Amino acid sequence: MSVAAEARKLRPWVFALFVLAVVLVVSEIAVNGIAGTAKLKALREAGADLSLMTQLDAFLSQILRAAPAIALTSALWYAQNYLGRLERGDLWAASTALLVDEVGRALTWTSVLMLAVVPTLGLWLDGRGPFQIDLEALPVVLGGLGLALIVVSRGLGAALTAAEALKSEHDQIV
Amino acid sequence: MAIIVRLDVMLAMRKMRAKDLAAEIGITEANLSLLRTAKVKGVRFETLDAICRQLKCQPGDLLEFVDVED
Repeated sequence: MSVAAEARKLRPWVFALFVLAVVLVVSEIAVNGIAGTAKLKALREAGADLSLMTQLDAFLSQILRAAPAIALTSALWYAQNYLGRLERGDLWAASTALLVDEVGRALTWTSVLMLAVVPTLGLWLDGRGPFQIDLEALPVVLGGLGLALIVVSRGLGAALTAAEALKSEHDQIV
Repeated sequence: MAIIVRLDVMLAMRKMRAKDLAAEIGITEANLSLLRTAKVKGVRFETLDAICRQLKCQPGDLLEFVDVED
């Protein structure tokens, strides 16, 4: 089976996963938002003084918690774009290799967000402590994969540039 | 480049049109035109073989080296 045919077969599945991921992220934000609003309402009814800043903090922490999932979802988007290029037969275009780089970057960002940005900003929003790193296996593996993909895409880009030069020379031989 | 392509001369001697030669040896007219005007980086042995076979000549009849300073 050709690369284009394989990509044609795989792309709808990746796109479906992307749509599913978007729906899950949005629904999680919505559900947490509703739960947060209900909690704030209960606190207000109990007589607690809730400033605008407290409500804003609650909203920001919802977005913050969803940030890694959003970054990971963007990796799926780039992956399905990459498969789309393969489907169109753009296997040897340098811009196709850039999409692998984008997948790698998205994975790396997910890792950085999970490891340091979300825990640290979470602390800031709660007004506790200056800095935190959540050293867990999943973000470390995602980061490793992301960095590996970035390096692979650089290699692929260099190979494609060399292939393009060779093709150009080959085309000048009759 | 000090290599001169004499394909035009051979075609004239054999009273053959470039279009017919291109069709006979299976390359495009555009590529044959590039070869005739020496605007190519190389010639495949396969192409040379086909041209020589068709025009009944030697590679040396088609290509000439002229020792000139660049």
